Amino acid sequence: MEKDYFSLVLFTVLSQTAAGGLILREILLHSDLDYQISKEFRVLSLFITGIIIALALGAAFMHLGKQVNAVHSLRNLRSSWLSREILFIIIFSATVLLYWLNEKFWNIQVLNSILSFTGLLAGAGLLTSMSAIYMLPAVPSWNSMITPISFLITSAAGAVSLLVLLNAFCGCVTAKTLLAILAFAVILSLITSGFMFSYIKESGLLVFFIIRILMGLITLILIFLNYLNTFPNKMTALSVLFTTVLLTEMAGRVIFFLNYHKSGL
Amino acid sequence: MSISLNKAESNSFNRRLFLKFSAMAGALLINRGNKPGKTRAGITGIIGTGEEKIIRTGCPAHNCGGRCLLKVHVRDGIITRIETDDRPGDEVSDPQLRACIRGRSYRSRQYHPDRLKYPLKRTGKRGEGKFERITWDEALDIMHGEISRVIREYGNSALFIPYGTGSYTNLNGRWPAVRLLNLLGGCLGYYNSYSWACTNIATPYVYGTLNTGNQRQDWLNSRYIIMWGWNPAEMIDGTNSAYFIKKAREKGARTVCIDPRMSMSAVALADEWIPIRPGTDAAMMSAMAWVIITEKLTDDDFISRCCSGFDSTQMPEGCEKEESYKDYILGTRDGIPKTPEWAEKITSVPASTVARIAREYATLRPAVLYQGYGMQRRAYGEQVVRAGAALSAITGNIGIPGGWASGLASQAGSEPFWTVFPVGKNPVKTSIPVFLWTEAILRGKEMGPADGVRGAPKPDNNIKLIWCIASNILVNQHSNINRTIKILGDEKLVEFIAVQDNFLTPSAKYADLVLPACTQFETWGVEDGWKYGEEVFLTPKIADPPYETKSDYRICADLSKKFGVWDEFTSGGKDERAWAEWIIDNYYRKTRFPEMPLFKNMEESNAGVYVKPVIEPVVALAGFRKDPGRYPLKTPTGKIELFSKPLFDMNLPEEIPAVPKYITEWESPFGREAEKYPLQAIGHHYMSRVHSTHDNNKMTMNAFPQHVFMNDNDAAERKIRNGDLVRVWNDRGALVARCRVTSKIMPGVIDIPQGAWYNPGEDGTDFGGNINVLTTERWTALAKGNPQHTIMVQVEKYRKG
Amino acid sequence: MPQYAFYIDTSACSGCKACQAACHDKNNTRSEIKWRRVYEIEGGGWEQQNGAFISVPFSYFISMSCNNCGSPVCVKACPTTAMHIDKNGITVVDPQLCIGCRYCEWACPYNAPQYDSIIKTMTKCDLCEDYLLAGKKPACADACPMRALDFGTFEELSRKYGEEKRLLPLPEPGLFDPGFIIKPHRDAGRATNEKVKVAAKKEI
Repeated sequence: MEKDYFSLVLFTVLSQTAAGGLILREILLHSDLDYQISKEFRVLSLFITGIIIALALGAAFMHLGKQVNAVHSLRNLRSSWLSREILFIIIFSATVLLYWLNEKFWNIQVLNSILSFTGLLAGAGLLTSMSAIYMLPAVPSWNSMITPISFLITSAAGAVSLLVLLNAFCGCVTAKTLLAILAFAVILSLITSGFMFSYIKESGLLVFFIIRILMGLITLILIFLNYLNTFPNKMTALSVLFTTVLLTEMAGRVIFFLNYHKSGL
Repeated sequence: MSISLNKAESNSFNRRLFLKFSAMAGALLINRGNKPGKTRAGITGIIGTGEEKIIRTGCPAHNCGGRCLLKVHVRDGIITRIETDDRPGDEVSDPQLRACIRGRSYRSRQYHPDRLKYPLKRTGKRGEGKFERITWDEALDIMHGEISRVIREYGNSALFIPYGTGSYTNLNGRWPAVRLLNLLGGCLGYYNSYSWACTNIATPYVYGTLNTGNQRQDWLNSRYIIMWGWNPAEMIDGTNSAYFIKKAREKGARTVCIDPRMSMSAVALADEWIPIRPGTDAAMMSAMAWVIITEKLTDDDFISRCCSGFDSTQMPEGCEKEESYKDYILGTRDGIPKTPEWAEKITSVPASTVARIAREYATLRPAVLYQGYGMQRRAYGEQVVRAGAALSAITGNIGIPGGWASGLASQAGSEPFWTVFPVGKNPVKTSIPVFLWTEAILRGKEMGPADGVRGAPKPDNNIKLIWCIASNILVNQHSNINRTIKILGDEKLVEFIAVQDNFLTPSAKYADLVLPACTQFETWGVEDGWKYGEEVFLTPKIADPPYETKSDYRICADLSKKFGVWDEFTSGGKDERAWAEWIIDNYYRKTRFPEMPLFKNMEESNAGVYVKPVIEPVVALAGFRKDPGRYPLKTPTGKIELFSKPLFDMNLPEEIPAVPKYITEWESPFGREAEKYPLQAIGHHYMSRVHSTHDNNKMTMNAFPQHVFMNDNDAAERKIRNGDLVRVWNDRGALVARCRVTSKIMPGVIDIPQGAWYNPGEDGTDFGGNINVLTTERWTALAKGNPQHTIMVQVEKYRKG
Repeated sequence: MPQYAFYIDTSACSGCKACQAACHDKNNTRSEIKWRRVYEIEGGGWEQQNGAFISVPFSYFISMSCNNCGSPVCVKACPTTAMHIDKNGITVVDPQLCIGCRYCEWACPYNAPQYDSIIKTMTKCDLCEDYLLAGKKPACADACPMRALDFGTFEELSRKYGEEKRLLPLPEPGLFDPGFIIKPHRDAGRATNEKVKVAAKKEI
């Protein structure tokens, strides 16, 4: 793996969190959950999602060798999943920006519906393309269902912990269902690492695995405590939770990238 | 271009050259991207708009054994690309002379930023590597002064020009200096080489000659080829040797590689690889003889007609009752029959394999038993040479097409000349074995015939002055570096050391005076075969010597002026080009190559090489085999001596037996030393270097970095993983290098390719990976040669501090 | 458009890397950028009986540059079309379009695209296209001292050498349609039953 793979770790975890964030937001808005959604939440969630996707884009940009040529990267939509991913991320980012502007300033209802639709599509398209990018026949260690599954789990875990945090920021009560889903996602996430344990041991990646398990366990404990409403200062607790979730996923993503093995040569 | 420039000319010339130099160095760093159709000549503009010339020449001759053709692209005196021989045809009789990675990566050496530029005088202590720049005039004055002083105070035999093969283009290297000193009273001579001391001495005891090799195309007539410790694909034992073996296999020959390592040749050329414990080859050979004798597979007709000493019926006069070869093999005297089971315990080769190989070699005739030189560069190397020759003899594989007599195997019928530059006669008659030069420093006057001194009862002096040219022998390549540097560090022993080279090598660091020589692309030269070959190369001057470098010849010519012998030395004012012309027109054309074009025609035609195609390969000893009475060998009995009376008369049967015997080495896995040092170390000739040449070539060293090659089981035992730094040590010294864990070397053996540049840390541990911190200065009994592969060591993971 | 291809005689390759050196010299590439790479394959192990070795490992070399695949995954993967098939049927990189994302490097099973950290774009073997247009073979093919490399159109080569493309640990050729024909090493058969690995990957 190239030396500067870490920017890709950031890019994938953050963009998956953002995509999941927007999708989850739309689900919450349109669900029958007895859930409190304030105007503040509607705006803030888009704003923060926008920040996160911007950070992700920055990380991706850093990864490129010759950034000036980036304008050409939509030329191969015909066959390149990377080209398509860039298209989806552009549509996604534009959607988030416009959506935020609309929710904060313009308040055009129809636009909301349109942007909700494009956002869901772009988000799903982004997640699909990213999975397809890594499922290369030449890299058998990536070319399995574990890849899209772990990307989706990152997406879910990141999104849930983000929105739960933003919800608390807006002074609303967190639905316990969400915490339960988060715990489930984190446990699944750790299990996927477990599948790779023997390889991890052989390749000297044990330290990342240990970080991952540690972070994951802390996350689960925090979830449990939040579930029991232990914390007086919910904001801090949920910020820490969001951080540990991201760290768990980033550690796992590091293992993923270092597990880069060509078929044969 | 005039040979000497005035100062103004040379300054502006140097400035231009400096720009070109750094441009080329830069060009080697920058990749211009993938633009098909565009010639990549480096940073354009600085190279200039001159047209590109293509000059065909020989690869700068080092001591690899190859003599290959290069097509050198030159623009404005800068080499921009190197291609190889592309003459159409590529037939076995006259195949293309394709260069290896070293020849092809030569630009990285030619334009290396570390090339010596000016004469240097030592300022610090010997070995510190501290020098100051001086002028050529000052440098030559120092040379003149010191040589004259040593001759006056001690005598000519105190002068020594060590062995060195860094420059083999006949006009360069040590030969001009030998010629010069021979005009001044001579210098201490030497015999043998570091490559093949044991076989050089041992082969004539069997055959009376060194020319026991058929022309290589003859291998295509063989049915069975044993490559014993022989790795032509990597060291290039003659250009195309590996290719000829490939062709022989295509014709149906079966090949077997016997080697502790799965060498590159074992991979590419062998049908079967048999790992054998280093130093035990004579045991397997003896066991093979046992099988061949007891199963009646001997060629009795050949033995009776052409051999002596095989059994009691043919012992030489005066030795009728002594132990014959057959006695030794069957164990009738020592009570140890040399059975395959006996050999298995010693060699780690299964008894059934030993027996099978013996039967195959004896029955699939004609067969070749080719002995590489690694296995004779050992404690009892003389024995293994004779043991192999004995196997060829008893199976009658000598003097027939497709056979091979073993031994040193220099090409029969038309011996190549490694030096045709006339050095004249050395007035000093004394010569020492080449490996004993440190003895001659310490106690030259006390050496005698027991030390192998020839030509006189003893040298008149210890060595007091060393002029080391195109050689890294002083520190890098001689055994037991820690011992040598103490000797060289003492200015009272050797009073003056001059080193003449392209780079500041580890040997140059011990010099009092460093003289910058130019490369072989920058002067004229002539190359011919190394051990075989029907080629002569003309290597014209392609580029100008940069800065103040000069050719070895030029340095000697300028020095000859100081001594007042310029006219005799230059033979009436010949320069390098004139000598090349003389060698071709007056030497080659009058001896081995009468049909060779004249020098001026070769130069004009830009052919680069003259080749005599080999249609019917010469077979060594063919005449002798047909009629041993009419064409006797130059041995006492006139026959192939399996029992040698001269050796018997030496009366040292433990180390110099009259028949070839397996003798346990003085440092081996079977001795007490193995408790402390359980691993054998060998140092093979690496693809990235020619001995120590190219150790600073980025391209070759990137492809084949210096390593300690170690078996995966041995590594696992020591918790060493691939890529770890390891420390290798014994009583003589220690080195640290990166470990390459591999299954391609047998357990119990490590390999540290020889030639890495010595680079000591503070406590004397070598961080360059030079195997000679571990080798012994003890010399072999008969040949007084270098046993540099007989080493026992221990290895551990390296921890700093 | 005929597919240009290489013939790789692994039964005669000694791993000497003269092909790699010829490529470096012709293209002025730094030693870290290897348009042609020589892979050392090791397999099998040691088995002792009473101190003697009755079973030994095996090894062979595979010299590989770009295989000019019939279905080049690098071209499919490249987001900018910098990696494309030019008018002579050779897959090449256009540095004016390349963004240095290295996705082609991931996609290629033979490691042909090589990233140049100084110009920050991808580079790769162009089958010495300038030599081809002049009627010469690529530098590597003419360099091999063992004559283990040949070059031509796939059709020409398959008439001379057959059509074998399988040799472990090379991946299944079906997906990529690579332009090479292999002569398997004498020990290639052992590779099917015993594990093989590429030795010293970091040195390549």
